[in-house]
Amino acid sequence: MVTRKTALVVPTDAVGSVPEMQPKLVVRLGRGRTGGTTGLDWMVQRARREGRDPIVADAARNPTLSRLYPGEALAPPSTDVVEVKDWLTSVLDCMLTEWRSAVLDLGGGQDSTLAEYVRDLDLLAFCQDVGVLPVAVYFLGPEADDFAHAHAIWREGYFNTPQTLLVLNEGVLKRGQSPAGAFQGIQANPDFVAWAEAGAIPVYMRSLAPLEAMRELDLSFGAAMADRPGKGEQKLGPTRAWQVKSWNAALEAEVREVGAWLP
Amino acid sequence: MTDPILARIQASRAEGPRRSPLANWLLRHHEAFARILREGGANWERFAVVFVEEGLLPRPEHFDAPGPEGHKARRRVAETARKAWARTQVERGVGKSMPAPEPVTSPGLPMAAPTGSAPAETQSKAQDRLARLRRQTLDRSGRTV
Repeated sequence: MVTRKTALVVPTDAVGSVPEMQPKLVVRLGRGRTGGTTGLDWMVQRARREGRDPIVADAARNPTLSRLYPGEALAPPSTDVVEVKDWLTSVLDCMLTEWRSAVLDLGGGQDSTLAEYVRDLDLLAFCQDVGVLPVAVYFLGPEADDFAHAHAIWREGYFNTPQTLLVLNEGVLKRGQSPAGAFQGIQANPDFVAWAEAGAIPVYMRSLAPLEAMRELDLSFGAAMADRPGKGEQKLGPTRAWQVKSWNAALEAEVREVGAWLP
Repeated sequence: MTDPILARIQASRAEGPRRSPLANWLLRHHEAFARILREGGANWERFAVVFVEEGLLPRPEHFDAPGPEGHKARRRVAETARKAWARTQVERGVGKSMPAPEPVTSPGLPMAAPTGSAPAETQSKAQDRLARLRRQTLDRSGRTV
């Protein structure tokens, strides 16, 4: 069923016409295990390299993002819907009080909490009134259910912002799977095409081979690219550092059109 | 002001808000430092070493130590510096002086059906983006279009 809010409004004319310091509320929605943590972490690190300081907020069922920012990331005290809703309000308050962007992980099934929250607070109207740019990000693996789940959220219509990114993540492909074959189903899906035609921006995120080594050494993307030492004074080494730089450059190129939507 | 306590508070406030040496420095050099960040990006760990050496931040235990303890101490100082900068930006009201943003959606706009209703230009842009995505997946699979 197409609800009143289902369809995207045609996107703003100029994707890049967003003031740099306008806070962005970047909400990750969709299934877990699709690479959302890596993508959101990259956005946070990107912002920090450029001198901005987004809030990291993690209410995902498996809160891996907050583990990357211990003692700093905001997380709800429990998974209880009422508590998560109160916590969402506190995140928005924090954004407005400190006039900072926020990266909010509601992946892995927490989107239903957002649906309920929006019944109490029309989040898009709120963002518009207070001058915050709402951005929805869906990370997609090759499984049909990844897309079906994301599309179902869109059909529900509770966070259909014109600023929507559909990130196809090569990093979750199985060994030996070719990206063209794996993502053929999604790319040929009429619902995916219709979503893109309604204004959602498809983004391709390559796999990052040294990601595990980076995590083990507790390295940020910036530190990894510069081959700075991490835990135990160990470095990635110049080859892996180059791989991170190349991956970063490819992702930067992918988001060039929508860079102003990022925190 | 008749209340003696308020009078004392007011007198102490007149000396100016209590800020750290780093916060004072960042406020004094806000424009120049922002330009450095814009042009060259931020490397807070390196900046933190400079701030410590210049006495703008205290040198914590293990700061110069090799190994994980030193790494952790330097990371903590870098984090302090980054947050001080963020607070400076809030204090300077960066962003709040921006003009009101363009509305991202117009309330009350009739909601279009998802298919076949976007203007031709939007559809054409979407087709370009989808074509680029196809090229990417083919390219990453070692195939050509």
